Amino acid sequence: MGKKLSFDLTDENAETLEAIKNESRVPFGQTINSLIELFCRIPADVNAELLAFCKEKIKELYTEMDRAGEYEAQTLMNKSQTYQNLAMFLNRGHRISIDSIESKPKMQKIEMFNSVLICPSDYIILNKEEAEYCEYASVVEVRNAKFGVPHFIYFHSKEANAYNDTDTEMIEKACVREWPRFKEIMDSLVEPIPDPTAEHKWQYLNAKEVNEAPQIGHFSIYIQGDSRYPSNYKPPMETRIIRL
Amino acid sequence: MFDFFKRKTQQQPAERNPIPLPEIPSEKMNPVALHEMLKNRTAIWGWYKITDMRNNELNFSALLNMTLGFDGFAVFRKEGDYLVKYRVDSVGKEHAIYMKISEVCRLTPSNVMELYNTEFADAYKLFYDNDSNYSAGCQCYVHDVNIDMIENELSKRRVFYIGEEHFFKKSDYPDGLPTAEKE
Repeated sequence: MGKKLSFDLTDENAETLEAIKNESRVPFGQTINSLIELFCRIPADVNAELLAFCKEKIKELYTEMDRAGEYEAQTLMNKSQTYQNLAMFLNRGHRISIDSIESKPKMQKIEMFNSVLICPSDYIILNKEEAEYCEYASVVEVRNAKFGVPHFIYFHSKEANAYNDTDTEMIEKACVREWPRFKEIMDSLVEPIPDPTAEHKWQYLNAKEVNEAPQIGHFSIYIQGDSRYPSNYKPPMETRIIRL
Repeated sequence: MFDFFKRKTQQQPAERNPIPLPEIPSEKMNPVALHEMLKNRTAIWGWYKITDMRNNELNFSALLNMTLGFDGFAVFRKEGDYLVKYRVDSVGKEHAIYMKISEVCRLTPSNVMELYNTEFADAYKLFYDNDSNYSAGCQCYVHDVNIDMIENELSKRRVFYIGEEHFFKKSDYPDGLPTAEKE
């Protein structure tokens, strides 16, 4: 039949309970039981979804309030604090910090052949139309660039370590097509000049210039559960292919 | 009848306020009011206690801002368009207060919200310092941080964390600090 408990409520909360009782004819106990069922015994998946929603709202409101005028900013601050309190409750009392929200990129999901690719939503997809026929994908990353260069995704029937010069050339042309500044990177590449007198063929006469110039890398995207990686492997930016 | 066993209620000694500043009243403990205070050049002093647990866990801000023993202090104030945080050191037998710049970010509503939900929420007590008068009278460590450096850092990240490399070590400059030479 339940338990009788007595506890202290703040004046405001007591008034709210009274108002609910007067307006909806719902007894105190029923309101409190509903609140506990809804919030304290919330299923884990619903909790996670609500928490993700609150985080997105906080992020959105933070951006909005910095652009808003004085009055609007105050309204948005109060509103975001409500989401912050809700998020903190759903996060078992742990506060949500802006840095923790921003360090987690928003992800996108792309259907592939018998699999799904998950990658940050700011990665540029070069050949989305071919995704459904491909089992593999690679990411293009640039090092030593003088400006910020995004990551690019290319779907292929083979892994990046099996690419030949024609493959990489085709992918890099697609990068220029989708993001024209990539041409500046390609123009600033330094061709290595092998040292004829050196013992190893990878020793270059212009090694210093090569190392300091921008370099384009093609990397295979990790396939979840790939036995070549340790079981606790965490791929960069959580980018991975999940076989269905 | 005399009740010999009745204990006299011992009066708790009033807690000594280590900073001679008034505490922020509860009605002003909200992000909007604190943002207004900072914009109006009121410095906010946070008092942290390691023993002041948060959600049954160690108080992270208190660990970050330790000054002396289990107590820690930090100062937050407006400087130009920036919100600047200072850590507080207690120096010598006199426990003189020395402020050491530790973080700089833009004074925006979102950065105040972040502060409200982290270091202000973790504070044991918050004090206000009108027109930063008390803070202005405290000694500060000399650093090389300038506007260009701040702008450069804030173009890349939300907060510029100031490391030890930005402070001058007295022993390295027996003939006076570089800033003094310029003047």
